Amino acid sequence: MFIVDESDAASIGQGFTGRLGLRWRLHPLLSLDASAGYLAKEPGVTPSEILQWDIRFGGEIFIPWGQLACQSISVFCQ
Amino acid sequence: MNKHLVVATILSTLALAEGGAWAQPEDGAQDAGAVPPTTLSPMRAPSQDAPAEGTPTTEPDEHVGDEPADPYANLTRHAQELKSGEGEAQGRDPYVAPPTTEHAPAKAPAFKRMKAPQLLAVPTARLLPAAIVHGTTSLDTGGSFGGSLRVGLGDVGEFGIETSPRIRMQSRADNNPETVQPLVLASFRMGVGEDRPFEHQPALALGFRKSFSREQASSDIRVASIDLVASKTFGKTSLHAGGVFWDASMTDVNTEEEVLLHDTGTKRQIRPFGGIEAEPIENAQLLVDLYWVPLFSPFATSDKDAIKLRPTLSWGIRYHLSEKVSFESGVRVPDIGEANLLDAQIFGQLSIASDKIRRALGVSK
Repeated sequence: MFIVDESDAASIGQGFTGRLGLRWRLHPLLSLDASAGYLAKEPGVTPSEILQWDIRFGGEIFIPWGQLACQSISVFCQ
Repeated sequence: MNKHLVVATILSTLALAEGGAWAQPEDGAQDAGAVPPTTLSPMRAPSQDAPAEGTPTTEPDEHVGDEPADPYANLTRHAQELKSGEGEAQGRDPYVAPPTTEHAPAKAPAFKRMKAPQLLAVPTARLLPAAIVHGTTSLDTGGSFGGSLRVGLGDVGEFGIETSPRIRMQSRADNNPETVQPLVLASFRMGVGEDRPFEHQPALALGFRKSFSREQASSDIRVASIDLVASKTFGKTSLHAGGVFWDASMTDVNTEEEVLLHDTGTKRQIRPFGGIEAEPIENAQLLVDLYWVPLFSPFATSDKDAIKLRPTLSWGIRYHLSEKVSFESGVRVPDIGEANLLDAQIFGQLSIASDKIRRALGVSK
């Protein structure tokens, strides 16, 4: 059973996040992203605490849905 | 886990070697370490000085020199021989075309010897070319193992995984520090190459490394660092200089008491580093560098002594066995502040680069 911690009053704080990285357009249908950045997960944590930073590596695939739909079921051809 | 990591890194390095270093290119492209294709044609070689009897003699190739070759010259000559019977008079089958004098167009080398992305301990601002995979495996006389695997991203960045033999822990006050192993780190670097935006501008790179948690001597440790480095080449000598900002944590697994480097002050987190790389002989380099790494002391009486940065001095050589394979060896003094040469380790490291993925993706500069 989940028990809410009621020792502190509920609050909504604010923080900031920032990332620094690159995007490599490897192919018209594919790009790769890599970055390092800071995400404030806990209140009071400052960006200088770089143990809280992380590295992300990902990518994007661009699928031409309109062209596929046009060729397969002849819609969105205009 | 240590043995598994050693085996995995060795296997990945060998896989690089199998795929990139000694494999022959399937498409006939000139491999980086291969001898360039000869420009002698089958007709020119025997006929220049003393043509043998029955050997077809021809005029010198039209394409020798600066003038471009006529691609139909050979066929035209064959048609003329058929008409005049000249080829038959020479004892040659008139219905077999003479050997061609045309050359396959020479392809540009796909890979040249690249400048290493790291000195002995110090990161450089030289990023790996796009889609080049670079792996290292190292071992020292203290039994510490290191390895790395990284890949270049679009000529402006690189991503990698590594284990470092340089971060140490003094588990007891009266003991010599031991290497924290295996401490696996992920790294990401981005920057610009030398002379890239403007002339005489040094290469610049910003790097971030972060470790996964590692438990040793009842302490759970983590490290992270940001470094900014500049590299500049002057003839056969290169200079590398920069600064590193470290953070580290050490948590007692029994009491869950945590010590953080950033709690002891920012001044204790920042250190300068640098190195020199000289190439007095072709393919052989002399390397010296100074770097700073954390030293963990779980039994220290104060937080300031529990995690502190110590200077590491390394010197050695790098010998390029081929365009893609190099071997490094040298001496590493883990803490020159202690001036204890008994702690010094001799190490060897094999580095292999592969352009297989680069060629498969068709990436070109």
